[in-house]
Amino acid sequence: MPYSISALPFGLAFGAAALGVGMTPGEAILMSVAAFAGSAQFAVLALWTAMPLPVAAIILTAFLVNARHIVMGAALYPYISNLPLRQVLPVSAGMTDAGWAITLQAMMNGRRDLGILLGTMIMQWPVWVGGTAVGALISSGGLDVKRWGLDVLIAGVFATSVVGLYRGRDDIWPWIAATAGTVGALLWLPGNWYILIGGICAGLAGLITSRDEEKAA
Amino acid sequence: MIEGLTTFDTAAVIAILGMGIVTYATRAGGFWLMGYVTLSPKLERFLRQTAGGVLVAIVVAAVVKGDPAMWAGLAAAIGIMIAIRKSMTAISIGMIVAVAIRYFV
Repeated sequence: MPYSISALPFGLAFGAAALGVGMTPGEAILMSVAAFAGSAQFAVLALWTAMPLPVAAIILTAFLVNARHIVMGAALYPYISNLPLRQVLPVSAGMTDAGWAITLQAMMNGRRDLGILLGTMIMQWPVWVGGTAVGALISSGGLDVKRWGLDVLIAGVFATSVVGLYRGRDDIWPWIAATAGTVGALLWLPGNWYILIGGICAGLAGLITSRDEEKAA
Repeated sequence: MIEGLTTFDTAAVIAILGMGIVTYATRAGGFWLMGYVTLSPKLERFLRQTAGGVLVAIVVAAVVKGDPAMWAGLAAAIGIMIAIRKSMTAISIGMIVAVAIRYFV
């Protein structure tokens, strides 16, 4: 499956970038094993340079970046509601954006088991962990983050996902709100509150604009 | 052997395991919750936009804290992503632009 190979360059990039911000190879690999969450892992790299490590901010950021999984799981639920939870919950650990999309499509076409979600995990997880290990190995000699553009790599992962996430005009106001909230938080609040503030501003703006649409309809 | 393969910082391990736990909670949470409540369209919209807003916040912070090479690299990555929808190509070219600017300027 070509999409599982697509995890390889990102895994390599994550391994290199993680060492660039000062993680040890063991820590980088452990994170890919335990979290298996590309965008959340890149997101916390932006926080990893601070000393002492902002542990609470890192965990909170991982939660916020991954909050979309809750919606994704809820969308799959109607198709698997006949399956026992003790079967569903372990398999859900392997849910990725791509795996979810493929699974949802298969279930809409009549499949009613989690084999396909399990399959996507079996394909992607080793590629992701292996990519991280190789990326970490390549860069274990020590890397200058700025000289190699790793800071642009990290930011670029998010800039391109924002472009890919765009679904139409509904997204414009939430993103303007997120930008305003982030700039405000960077100006007036210490630490890493901007991530939480930006997310909440976007969520609230989404609620307000959706209410306007209902009235207009 | 990779140097540092067995080197772990306690705070880092706590942060990483914490990430693993909350990430699993979000993955399982949607299935688990739906057994008890239904997700209203409003809550669904809030969660979806919150996730998008977090990504926007990270990009905005990178721009605010970044140097001109970062701005040029991000602009290139975003432009190429809009044009051809291939994230790996867009990010690579953005990196090359930034590295070139830092090298020559």
